[in-house]
Amino acid sequence: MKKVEMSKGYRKKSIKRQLEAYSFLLPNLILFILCSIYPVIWTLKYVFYQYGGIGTAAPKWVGLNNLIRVFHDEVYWLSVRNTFVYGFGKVLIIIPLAFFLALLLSRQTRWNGMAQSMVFLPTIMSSAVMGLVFYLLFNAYNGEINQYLMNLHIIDAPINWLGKKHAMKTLVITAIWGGVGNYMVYFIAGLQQVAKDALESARIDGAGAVKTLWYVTIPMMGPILKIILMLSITSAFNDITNVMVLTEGGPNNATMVMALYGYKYFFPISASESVISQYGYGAAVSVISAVIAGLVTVLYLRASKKLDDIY
Amino acid sequence: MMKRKKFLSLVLAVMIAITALAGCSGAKDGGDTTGTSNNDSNAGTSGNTEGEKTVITIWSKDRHDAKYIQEKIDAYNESNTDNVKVDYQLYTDNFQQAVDLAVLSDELPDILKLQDQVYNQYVNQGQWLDLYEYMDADMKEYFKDEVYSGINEIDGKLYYIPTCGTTGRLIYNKEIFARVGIENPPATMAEMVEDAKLITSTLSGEGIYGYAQHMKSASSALERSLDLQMERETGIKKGFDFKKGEYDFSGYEELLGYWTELLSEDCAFPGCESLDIDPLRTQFANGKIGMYISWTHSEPGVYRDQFPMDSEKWDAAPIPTASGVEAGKQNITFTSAYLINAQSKNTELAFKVYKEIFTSEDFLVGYHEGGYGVSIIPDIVAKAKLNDEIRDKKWLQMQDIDDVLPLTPQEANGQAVIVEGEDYYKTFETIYYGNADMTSTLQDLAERYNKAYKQGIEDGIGKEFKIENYDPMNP
Repeated sequence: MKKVEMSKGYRKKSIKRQLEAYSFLLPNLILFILCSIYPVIWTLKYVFYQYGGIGTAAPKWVGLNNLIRVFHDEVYWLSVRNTFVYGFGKVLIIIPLAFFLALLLSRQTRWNGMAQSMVFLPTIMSSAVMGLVFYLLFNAYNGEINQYLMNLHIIDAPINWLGKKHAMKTLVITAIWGGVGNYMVYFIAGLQQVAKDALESARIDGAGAVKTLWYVTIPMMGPILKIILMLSITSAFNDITNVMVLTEGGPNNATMVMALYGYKYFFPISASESVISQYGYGAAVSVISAVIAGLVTVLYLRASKKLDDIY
Repeated sequence: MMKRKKFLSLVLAVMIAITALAGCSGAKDGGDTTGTSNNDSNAGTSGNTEGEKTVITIWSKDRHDAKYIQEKIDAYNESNTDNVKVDYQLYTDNFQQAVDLAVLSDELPDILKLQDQVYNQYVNQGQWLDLYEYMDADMKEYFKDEVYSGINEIDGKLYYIPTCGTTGRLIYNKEIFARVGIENPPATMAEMVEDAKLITSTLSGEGIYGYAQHMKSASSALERSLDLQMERETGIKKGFDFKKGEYDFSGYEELLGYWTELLSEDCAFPGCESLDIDPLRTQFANGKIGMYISWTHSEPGVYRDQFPMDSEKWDAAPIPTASGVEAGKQNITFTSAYLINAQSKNTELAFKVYKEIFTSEDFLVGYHEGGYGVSIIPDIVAKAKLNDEIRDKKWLQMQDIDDVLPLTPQEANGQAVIVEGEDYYKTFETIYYGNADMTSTLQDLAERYNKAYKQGIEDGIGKEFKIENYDPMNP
């Protein structure tokens, strides 16, 4: 076959076009390398070193010691367990709740607009303020939640919501309150994508509201549901501000999650604490945590393949 | 036309990239500088001249005394004849990280408020000025009692002069004690547990409980209480036995037993495990807590300004020990001292500013009188006219039971004692809030600390700490 040769002018044009395209890509590419790739390489490098940060002794090569130490660190594995409890506890409640709220408030009315704003408000609130408010609500001594429950005769004595036994539940409740608005907005966007003609034909075929929801709306929202679920899982694995403000991982590590456990080797968890930084070990914890989060995401993506099939 | 458009697109793309990258590099000031700064000059611009004036920059981490210090600096800026302008900046969050970055970019200010970790981290790298170089004979004589070998004086060089200090005391509500018939504050842990139980059992119906501690942060709570108890009880500081030159936590067993009781439902305020210090103070001011342990320097100001409480209602006492026997002194932590950057272009001027503002008698007396810190200089204490809040509470002042103790290996250099696993504060949590076996846990703790201590020495980062004739009563 004869090769078709490009004319000089065309080739010049094509190079120019490519240059143009790359020049637009360049800013993002540089930022991506600086802000994403470089920190990852930095983290991976320090996994093999003992290093205390700026102003301390030069990094010392320790080989696989940091990784071995992670595997023997009981508190780390407790934090992994807590992360799963927190993450799945949050996702299992927040997703159905957000979907329900989206169904309830998706119609464009004045009241719904206001209600949507109210539900969404916690998403844009400062985590520190949220933590303080929830402390006031949940504290064992004079927290309002206990007062209400006692007034309604649901409990006889105050519950220590932030104590070892209940702290994780309280964290999940706080996370749901803080995040449900966000997922509701995603679901509302998803609901608006559902083909109106499909809903119409279901109605003509005599399907009731529940049947339409179950057999038409939910299946048609499969792809967006898959993304929302993935986002909720990954964010639950990295959520530390909520934990940091409310419990600092305590009492006795009952609410320590793996992202916060890695963080504490770099920075103090609270203003009243000082830290002897261990960048190498912190990097090892972060890398193993990232692998765990990655594995969960891959497993989820495999399991949720069916959600891509729109009827 | 098309060409021009393409050219414009390219220029725009480059501009976007530059702007974005410039944004990424961040301002040198650091986002958390809170504004007491007099001008907008970059942080740490040592020796900058503003017009004809030389700018001396000071960094502090403390908000509580910022107003007082700013007033003194304003007065100095107006009256000094050296053409100096002092720029006072607050870095209340992440002070240590701000200093680290400033050291790296050679932008450390001329003067910094002392923070132990920052001081210890850079002291062997020639970062701090030897004050002896500029101190005259009078100044050396005046501050001779504030020189602590191995702490602020190393190898014959003096790096800072501490003027105020703090230590822990039992803070108790006199009214509550009187209501249940307790005449004197407890002297031993057994008495403390007994008193706390009595208050809780008698008054919990009214929402009043015997004891509280802000256990949300174990280190914050225990360094002002349990650490000091051990120092007085055994002479062991933060688990380190100076005589033996090793870590030994076995002596904590008895005390931890009492703490487990103290934090139980029979004694403690509900929810202590998630309590922060300020919510605790609010409840104490409301008369709901019988006693707690805290620092001497902070509480008077708190109950005067932050959570007002009638001064007659509360007092301070020595922290009870397990046996009541005084075998050692409890440590004084320095709360007010300044370091001078040895790399500053104006060290002489910086020293002059430091001397004239922070070591003047007027400043030190006012600082002590204002309750911003407890002076450790007897001459200043004698001259100060204390307000009621402090004057009538003897134990808020330094007493015979207090002294400055030597640094432990980990205090001297945190990086020389990298302990695998949880630190001892968090480990204690597994005892008093968990079901960990006390003896084996404390043994494992000592093994981990000693292993890290020896490793540090082996790596050449740390050194041996052993004081053969260490006398805890005369440290």
